[in-house]
Amino acid sequence: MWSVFEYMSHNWSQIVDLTIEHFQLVGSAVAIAILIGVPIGIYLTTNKALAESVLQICSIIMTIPSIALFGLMIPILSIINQGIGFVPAFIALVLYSQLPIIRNTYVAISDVDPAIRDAAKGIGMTTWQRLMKVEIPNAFPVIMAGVRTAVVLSIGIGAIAAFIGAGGLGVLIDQGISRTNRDMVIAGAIGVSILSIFADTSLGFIQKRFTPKSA
Amino acid sequence: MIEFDNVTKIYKGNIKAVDQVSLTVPQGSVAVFLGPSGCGKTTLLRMVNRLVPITDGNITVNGMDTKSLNEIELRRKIGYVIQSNGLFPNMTIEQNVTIVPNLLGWDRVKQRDRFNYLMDLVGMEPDQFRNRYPHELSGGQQQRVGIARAMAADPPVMLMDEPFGALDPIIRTHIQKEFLQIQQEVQKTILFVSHDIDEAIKMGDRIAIFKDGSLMQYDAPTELLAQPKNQFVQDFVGTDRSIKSLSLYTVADLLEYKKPKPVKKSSFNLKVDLDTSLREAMAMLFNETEQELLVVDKNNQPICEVTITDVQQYLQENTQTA
Repeated sequence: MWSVFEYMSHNWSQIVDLTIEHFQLVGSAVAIAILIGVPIGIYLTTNKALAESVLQICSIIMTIPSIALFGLMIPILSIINQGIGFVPAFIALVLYSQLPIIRNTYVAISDVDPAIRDAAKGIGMTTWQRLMKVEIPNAFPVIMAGVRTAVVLSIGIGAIAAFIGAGGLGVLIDQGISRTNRDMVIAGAIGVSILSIFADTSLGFIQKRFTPKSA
Repeated sequence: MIEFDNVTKIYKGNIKAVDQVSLTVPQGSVAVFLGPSGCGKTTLLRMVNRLVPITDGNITVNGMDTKSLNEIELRRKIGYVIQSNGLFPNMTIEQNVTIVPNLLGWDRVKQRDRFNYLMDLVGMEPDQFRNRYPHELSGGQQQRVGIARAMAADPPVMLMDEPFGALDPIIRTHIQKEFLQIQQEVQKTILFVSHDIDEAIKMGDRIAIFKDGSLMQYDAPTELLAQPKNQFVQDFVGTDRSIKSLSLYTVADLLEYKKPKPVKKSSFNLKVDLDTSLREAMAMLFNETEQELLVVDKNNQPICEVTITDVQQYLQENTQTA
């Protein structure tokens, strides 16, 4: 066990670099996923029939093993010379993040108390005002829960992206396995866990901070 | 003033929710829409601010056809109160109350003044509630805030959909009374939906009774109780309608109809003034062993005496079915 800590203290700067790399990949992917997923989720509340199919498609994407998705993207993205590396990993994480984000947004907005929505309409809010002042603030905790799920999920899947050269903490795990260096594998796994816990806790804090007092 | 002119609502599948309703609510008065659930009263109310589109007919508010206005603008000019108060849980009480002035772009000082005024009006301390959230308030307080919010931009017309329906009987009676006092001060034109005949009698200057989307009768409460137009209205107001009507008449009404008897006895246990309702007067007579009530004027000078028989005769005269 001590050997793991020894390894980590010797390779401290490399581990920090990989952690930052990992964080950048996940952070940018989830940011884009939010920009795509939240508006889709909101739109789906106005079209229940379409909502069923979209959520179905998102579920199917979730069931594709990540390693298989990377494999599928290599030939496609090779056309633009991006078969491996950051781009396919980024795309995969955006896709995987869609289900929790879209589903939670859809459910959260649909579940806003009809009386509140009626009041908002009745006092003369436009659709946009209703969304920004009433529906999104009240749906915020549930939307945030979806984002947190997406982040934790992406940090885990991001570790596998090292196999297609996207970098990040997966590099330690990948190389540790090839070199049968147990300490390296464990160091990578610990890094991924700490990153997940840190990300989830900070997002939990943000969620609390911006949640309306009543919820 | 609100005018309904042959207003009809037909939902998909040819379901008639409201059938050719015409009635006029005079400026500054309260009209109660009364009827069993599914009679179209709420639909009719919601057509005024176009939350429900009108199939046929016209509704005019202060002479303006509601269809000629942009629906957002229209709604901002009409106060709206619903049963479950509909306060926004993410906003403070002040933000809730001043939401319409905020949408209309009033400046901060004006909004704050308005908030202070309205909270005083509904009997709540402005500074105590300013930064609190709806869930921290009791049901009665929430409903008061709901009323304050509806009056925020000083709309001439207010729509109230069973506003006191979710409150317990004691609080409800209390708020009804308060609301009538507020109404005396602000003199809004109000449409008030209710399914409770007692509430309607108490709150309404006029009552419209609906059945299956059709208007059965539209009259002052005294008229409605005295002369129900048909069997439905008669059943709806109940067999105890004469007792209900007691609360609508005062001792002064009785004396106008009947020449006061001179005071014979020298001492009375029971005294009432001219503004006392006959309901209270009767209750006093039932509770005590006395046969007569002494009626006194404002200066506590005796005018005459009243007996149970006097009240009975008065009611019989006034509530005979046409």
